[in-house]
Amino acid sequence: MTNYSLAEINKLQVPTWRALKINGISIGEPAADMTVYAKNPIEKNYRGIEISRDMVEGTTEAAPLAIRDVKNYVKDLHSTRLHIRIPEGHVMDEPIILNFKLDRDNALLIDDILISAADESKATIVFRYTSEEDADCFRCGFTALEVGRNADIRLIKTQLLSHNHKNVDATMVNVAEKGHANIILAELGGEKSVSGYSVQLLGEAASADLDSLYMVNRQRELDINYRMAYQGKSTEGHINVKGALLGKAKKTAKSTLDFISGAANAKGHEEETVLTFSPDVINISAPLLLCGEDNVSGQHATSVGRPDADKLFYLMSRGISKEEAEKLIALAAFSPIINSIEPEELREEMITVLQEVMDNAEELC
Amino acid sequence: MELKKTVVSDVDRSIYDIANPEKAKYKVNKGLSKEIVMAISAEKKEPSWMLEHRLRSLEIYEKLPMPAWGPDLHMLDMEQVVTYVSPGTGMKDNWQELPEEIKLTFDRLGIPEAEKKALSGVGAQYDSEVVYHNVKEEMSSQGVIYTDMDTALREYEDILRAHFMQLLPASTHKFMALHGAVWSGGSFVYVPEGVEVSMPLQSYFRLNAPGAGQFEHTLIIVEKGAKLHFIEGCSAPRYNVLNLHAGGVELFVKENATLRYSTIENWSRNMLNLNSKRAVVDKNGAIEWVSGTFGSQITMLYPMSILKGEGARSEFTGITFAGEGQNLDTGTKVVHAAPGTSSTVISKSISKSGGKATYRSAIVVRPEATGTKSSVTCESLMLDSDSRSDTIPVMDIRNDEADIGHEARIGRISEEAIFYLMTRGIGESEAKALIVRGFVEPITKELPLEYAVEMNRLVTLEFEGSIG
Repeated sequence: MTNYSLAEINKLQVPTWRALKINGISIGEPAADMTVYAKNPIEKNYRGIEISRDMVEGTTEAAPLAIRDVKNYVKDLHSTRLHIRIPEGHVMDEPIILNFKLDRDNALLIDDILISAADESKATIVFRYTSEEDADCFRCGFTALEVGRNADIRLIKTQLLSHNHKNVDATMVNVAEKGHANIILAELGGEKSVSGYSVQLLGEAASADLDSLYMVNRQRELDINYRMAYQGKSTEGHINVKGALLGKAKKTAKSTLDFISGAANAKGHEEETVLTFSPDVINISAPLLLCGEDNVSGQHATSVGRPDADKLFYLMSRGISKEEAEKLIALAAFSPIINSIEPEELREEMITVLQEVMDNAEELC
Repeated sequence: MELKKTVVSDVDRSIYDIANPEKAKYKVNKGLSKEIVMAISAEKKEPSWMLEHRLRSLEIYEKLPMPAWGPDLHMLDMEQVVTYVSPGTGMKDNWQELPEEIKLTFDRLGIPEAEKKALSGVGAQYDSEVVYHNVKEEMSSQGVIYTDMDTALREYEDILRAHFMQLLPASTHKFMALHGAVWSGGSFVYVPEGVEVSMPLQSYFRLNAPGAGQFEHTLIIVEKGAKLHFIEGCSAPRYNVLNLHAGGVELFVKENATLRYSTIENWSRNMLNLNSKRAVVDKNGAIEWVSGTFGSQITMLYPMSILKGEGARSEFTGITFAGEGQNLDTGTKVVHAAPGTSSTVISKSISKSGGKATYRSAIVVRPEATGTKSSVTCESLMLDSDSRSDTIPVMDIRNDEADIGHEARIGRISEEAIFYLMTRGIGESEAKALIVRGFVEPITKELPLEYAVEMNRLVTLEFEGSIG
C-alpha cells in the first residue's frame, strides 16, 4: 500500500500558467491483477562489483520536485530492488547490463535501483526495457546513481516497451567532485511514457552530459523532464535532446538548467531539436533557465520544424523516395547519440526499432 | 587581482516619489463588496448593463482561486484596498484648469511639455479618474477619437458594449475579474480606416492615494489600414502601505493596420502591478509591444497577441530591471491562429541587489496556423548572487509547418568581447560601457526619443570592472 499516486507527476521545476497543462502529468495506476515482475534483470556475473537486494538510502540529497512523487511511490511498492556497488578505483572492462523483459507472467515492474560508484571508478551501466505486445504490462521505476570523486560513469537507458504499455521512469544522479556522468537515453516505446531525470552536480568541477533521443509515432504520448542542477563551483553540464514526431504523436519536453547560488564559474547548455513529420503532431517544449548565481554561463536553444528542404531535395534528386530520404535525415540527426550506445547488439536493435517506428507512423505494426 | 563589479545604479525615483496630500472628493470604503461595486457604478451614472457586468465579475472574482504560479501574493489583502478614489476635478482639456498640485505633478513628470513637442494627444489619470484629455485638432478632424472611458461609455456606448472585456473576460483570471468589478478611468481610442496618426497618443496614469487600487481600462480600435503609436506611462509615490494596480488593455487591430503600444512602467516599490493586456490582430495587421518594467514590488505582466488573421504579426520588445526587494515576472504570450502568421520576441533583463527578474512566455501554434514563424530571444544580466533571473518559456506547437526558434542566454559580459574592443584602442571602461549599452540598445531604439533618454537616465551605468 502507498499514500502516493501517479496522478500529478513529472512536475515542471517552476510552475507556470495552468491553461498550458504542462505543470505535471497524470498516468493511470496499473491494474490490480497484474502479475508482479519476478525475474532477475542481471543475467551474468560481473567481477569486481557487488550486487545486493539490501537497499540503503545511498543518496544524501533529497529528490527534487520533478521526480519526488515517483520516488516515493516506488519506495513503497517496489517489485525489484537492487543495489550495485562499484568499488573505489574499480574500472569495468564491460558494460553492466540490466535487462528487463516484461511479459504476461512478469507484467508489473516497479524497479528501485541504486548504483553507488565509488571514487575513481569507471563503468558503463545499461538498462534495457522491453515488453511482449500481447500482454498487459506496466513499468514504473526509480534509479539513483551516485558518482564518486573522479569517477566516470555512463548510464544508458533504452525504453523499447511495446506500443500499448505504460512507462514511468524517475532517475536521480548525484555527481561528486571532478566526477563525470554521461547519461544516454532512448525513448522509443510505450503507449504513454513519462520520464524524469535530475542531475545534481554537487562537487567542485563535477560534470555531466545528458544525451537523449526520442521518436514517437501513432497516438503515443511522451512526457520528458530533464533537470541539470549546478551546485558546486566550476561545474559543467549539458543537455542535448533530439527527437522526431510522426502520426498523431504528442510530446512534452521540459528541461531545466538550474544554477544554484554558489555555483561560481558553472557552465551549462541545453538544446532540443525536433523534427516533425506530420501535421497532426503535438509538440510542447519548456526549456527553463533558472539562475541564482551571477558568475555563470548558461544558454538554451530550441528548434522545431520539418526536415531541411535542401537536404530532402538533394537526397530525392539522387533517386531516393521522400519517405526514405526523411528516414535517412532522422537517423543522421540521431546518429551521434545512437553511436554512443553499447553494446553493439543494443545499438543495432535501436536502429531497427527506429526504422520500425518511422515505417509505422500511423498504422499498427 | 580582484575584479571590481560594474555598478548599476538604482532607478532615481525622486521625481516619482513626491506625494500630494490626499484630497479625494469621493472614495469608497476599504474592501470589496457588492455595495462598493454598486456605489462606483452609481457615482459614474453608468448604464444598467455595465452595472450587471460589474456584479457578474464580482461573483467570478469570489469563485476564482489565487494563481498557483508566479510571485507570492500573500501580502495582498483586499480588505485593506480602496478600489475607487475620485479627485473630483472633472475632466479638463486645459492644464491650467486643473488644481495646482495635480497640474504640478504632471508638470514634474514632463507630460504637458511632451504634449507640446511630440504627441497627437494626451490623457492623464489621477487616482481613479481621468483629469485631463486632449487631442490635436488635425486628429479630430480625421475622425480619430481619443477620450476617457466614461465619456466613451456615454457617447459611443454601442462600440464600447461590443468590445468591452471581450478580449479579457472576467473569467481570464482572478485579477481580471476584480478589474471587471471595480474598473475606472482609462482611455478609448478609435482610429478610422486608412488614417495614420503621425505622432503618438499618450496616456499617463498616476496613483497618488495611499492604500488605493487603480483599475483603468484602455480600449483601442485601429481600423483597416490605419496606423497608431500609443504610449502608456505609469507611476506612483512610495508609501508604506500596499497599492494595487490591475488595469486592463484591449487592442483591436484590423486588416492591414499597425498598432505600436509602448509602456514605461515605473510604479513605486509598494505597488502590486497585476496588469493584463491583449491584442487581437486581423489579416496582415501588426501589433508591436514595447515594454519597460522598472518599478513595483511585484509585477505580473504578459501582453498577449492573438494573431487571428492570415499574415498577422506581432513583435514584443521588453526590458525588465529588478532591484532590491522587487520580484518582476514579465513576458508575453502569442497565439498563432491563422496561416502565415509570425512573431518576434526580444526580451532583456537586469537584476541586482536581491531583485528577481523572471521571463515567462507562451508561444502557441494552432493546427490551422500553417507556415507560422516565431523567433524568441531572451538575455539576462545578473549583477550579483543575491539576485535571481529565471526564464520560463513554453512552446506549444500543433502542426508541422511551423518554423520555431528559441534562444535564451544568461551570464556576464564576455571577456573576449572586452579584449577585442581593447585591441582596437578602446579603453576597458569604455569597452564595457559599449557592451552594456549594446545589451539594452535593442530596447532603447524602439522607444520614443524622450523615453529612450529617460531609460538611459534610469539605468545609470558606472563602468568600473566587469559585470559579475
